[in-house]
Amino acid sequence: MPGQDKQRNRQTAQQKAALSQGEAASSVTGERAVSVGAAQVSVYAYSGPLPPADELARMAAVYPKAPEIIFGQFEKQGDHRRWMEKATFWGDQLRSWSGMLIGGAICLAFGYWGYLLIKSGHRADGLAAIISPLVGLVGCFLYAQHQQRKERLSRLDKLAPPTSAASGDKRLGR
Amino acid sequence: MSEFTSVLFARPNMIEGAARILDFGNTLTEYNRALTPEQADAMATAADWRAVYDDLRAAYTAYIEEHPELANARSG
Repeated sequence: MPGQDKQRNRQTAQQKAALSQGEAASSVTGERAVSVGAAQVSVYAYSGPLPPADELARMAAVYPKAPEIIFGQFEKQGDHRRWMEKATFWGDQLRSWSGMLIGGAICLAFGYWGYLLIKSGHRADGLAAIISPLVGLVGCFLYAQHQQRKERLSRLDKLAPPTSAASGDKRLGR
Repeated sequence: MSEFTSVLFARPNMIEGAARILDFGNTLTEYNRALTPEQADAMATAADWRAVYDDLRAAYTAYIEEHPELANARSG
């Protein structure tokens, strides 16, 4: 049974060289000799997880369940890949939303605590309790803006040929 | 997932999520924009081929780790 748990990349090559197709002929017309030859090279290759139909049929002749197994593994591999992409995407979204909810909850909690402090007569402490998480959020905002921009442009830089010194900004005309 | 899948934008994270509390102007939503459709096509094609290059390189590295004698033969 062919190993299907990893990507198959198989190449089959058939080379046929027929220098003598019975065509080599020579004739003499007066003093001139003419020689005719024919060469044929045939290369057959494929790449991918699924073999071509004729090869699949040959496999089925040897092992009848082979097509079912090969197609089943192909389907599972596709499902797995799509699941990984979905998990990455939703993981990113979950982290983003959880950051918003947790940051918001901390701000609200500190705000309420500050309100209680002010109400109980500790005005300076209360204001500090309200303002400090906001300062943290502003820091988060500035850092995230810088980091996101850096990450975004670094991807453009990676697309450049190794010899190019142009940054993402320059290539986009900014 | 290759980083070239999301070549047009930075991936979200927790700090970015917290920062969005103050992002009333939606300034954190930004994309790598191209000046022309042709440039956009070229960028997308380059990203695709770069992802292919990364895959090939990963496969090559894994194979060389399994067969270190091939790496020596190449350098020698």
